[in-house]
Amino acid sequence: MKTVRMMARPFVFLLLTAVFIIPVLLLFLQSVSSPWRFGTLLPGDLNTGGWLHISGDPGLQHAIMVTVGLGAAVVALNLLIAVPAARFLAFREFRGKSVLDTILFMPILVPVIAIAMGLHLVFIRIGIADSFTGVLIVHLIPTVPYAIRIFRAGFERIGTKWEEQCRTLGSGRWQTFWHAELPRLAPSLRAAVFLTMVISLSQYVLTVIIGGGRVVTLPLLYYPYAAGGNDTITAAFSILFAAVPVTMVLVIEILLRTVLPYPLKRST
Amino acid sequence: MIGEVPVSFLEIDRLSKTFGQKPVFTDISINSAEGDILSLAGPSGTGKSTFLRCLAGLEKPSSGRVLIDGEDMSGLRAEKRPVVLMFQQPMLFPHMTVLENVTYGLKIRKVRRKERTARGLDMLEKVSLKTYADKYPSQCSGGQQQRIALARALIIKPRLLLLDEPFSSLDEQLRHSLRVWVRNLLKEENMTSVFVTHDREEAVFMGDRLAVMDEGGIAQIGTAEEVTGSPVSSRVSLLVGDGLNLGNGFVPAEAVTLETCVTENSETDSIEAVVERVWKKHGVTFVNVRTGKGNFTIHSSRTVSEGDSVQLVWKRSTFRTFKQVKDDRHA
Repeated sequence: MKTVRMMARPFVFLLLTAVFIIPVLLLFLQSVSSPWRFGTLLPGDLNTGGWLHISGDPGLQHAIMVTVGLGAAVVALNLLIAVPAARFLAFREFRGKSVLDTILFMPILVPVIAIAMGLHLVFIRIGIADSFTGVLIVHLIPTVPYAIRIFRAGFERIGTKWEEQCRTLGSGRWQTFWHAELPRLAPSLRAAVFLTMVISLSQYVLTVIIGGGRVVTLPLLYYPYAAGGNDTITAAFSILFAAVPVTMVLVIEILLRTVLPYPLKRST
Repeated sequence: MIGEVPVSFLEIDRLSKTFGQKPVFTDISINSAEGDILSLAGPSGTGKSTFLRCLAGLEKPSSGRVLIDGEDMSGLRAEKRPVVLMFQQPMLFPHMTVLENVTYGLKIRKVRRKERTARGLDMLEKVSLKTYADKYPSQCSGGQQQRIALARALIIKPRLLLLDEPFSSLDEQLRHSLRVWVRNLLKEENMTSVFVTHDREEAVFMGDRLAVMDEGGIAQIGTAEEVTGSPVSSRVSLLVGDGLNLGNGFVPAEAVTLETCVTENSETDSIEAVVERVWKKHGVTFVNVRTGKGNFTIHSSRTVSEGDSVQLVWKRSTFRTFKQVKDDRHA
């Protein structure tokens, strides 16, 4: 068994390289060379035109700010809504729990475009259409149901007995959450943050409908850039687009390690 | 019984709890002096745990009140009560070190780190685990974990400590050594405690006083000797009695002797029995015999073997009639 595993190792490595590393390398190469024609093994030249182009685009810089700000706000609101809701759903028994559970999952079951069309009318009426606030709220629809699911599973894994143990030792609800529950929720926290951020970052239709073209995020610029036909610029843009969530995950990880009251390695 | 204690530290006054229509326990009144350990014994499912949860404030009693040092606990939430409840499981926080676990109660009371550490190490010394301060609970054995949990409870100096079968998850040998040790520490700290167990021997060992809870009430309360030596009912006798239950009355174990042949005597009574098993413990031979009134274990220096017919003999004056006649079909 062991020998089979040993023999399989180089193949696994090759496969992973072929699937994950080579495409990224190619993308990077393309971003620093002129469009690459079929039949040539290596790119013909090295130039920084693509990167210069996108770094010189003030619209793009603004879009990055909006995207990051929106992503961060969506994540923050998700945590604020999902953590207490999940805790409640995990620890309390009440009539109509399964009904509430289904209702909370509805936004994912119903086509999001149908919800967006209806919400657009409401948002126009209350005056938050074509605004950052409107887009922020609409981004909660495809994210909150997932965040609640993730945290609920996390709370259920911990169980209610700890809350009672903490209370009898004298800690209030917030202290119990901060010292006893949150450190052990770190895996759920990481999963929820990453998922909601990537979902928010991938929204095109919702942002277009509710933002009305005034709230411009990176996905909205993707099409014009890709449609421009310049592979170098498109490659540079793609790398930049992928770098945004990766950077945010890094920032979150650093925050988790510095803000949480106990070392993370023990938290699972 | 209640009137005998003039000012009691812990005063439980007609505490009742019902779940919906179903009563869990009714009108329980207990008084306990400061520093006393009260053992609460009884079969499982009689509401012992619920009773402790009501004292801790985790459950709201339906009626009655609890006073600690004259202070009414009724309106206080669990986290505001000077009461700590220890569960069957040690419930140590897995992500905290042993020292962090022990000092948790101080941390949430905003005690400064330096003082916290000093007091924590002090407390760990008392439970002989000082060298484990920087380890994690998963690196400690079950008995050590329960000791850490005890240290975590004692460090905040509660006025009442509740222990809900704290040794039941441990193996027997560990349970035996731990109970000596826990009792000594509780006495040293002068900790008023209520110790719940379904183990008769443990209840007698741990408590200064023994209360027997049965069918939602306190069947009997008193010193261990009073309760085990002269149970008020056949039911109490079956639960904790240390002696011969004759259905309408009781003969304490120390008054019963095992004889192979009986000389008729106007001062003694006897009952026929058959030896079922003979074994040794603590260097003494024990004999389990079957009588018409059930099985009975007695220590005897007489040489008998399994299957022998014997007599259990006692002085008539030692017989005590049960004060409460109650059927014991549940036993």
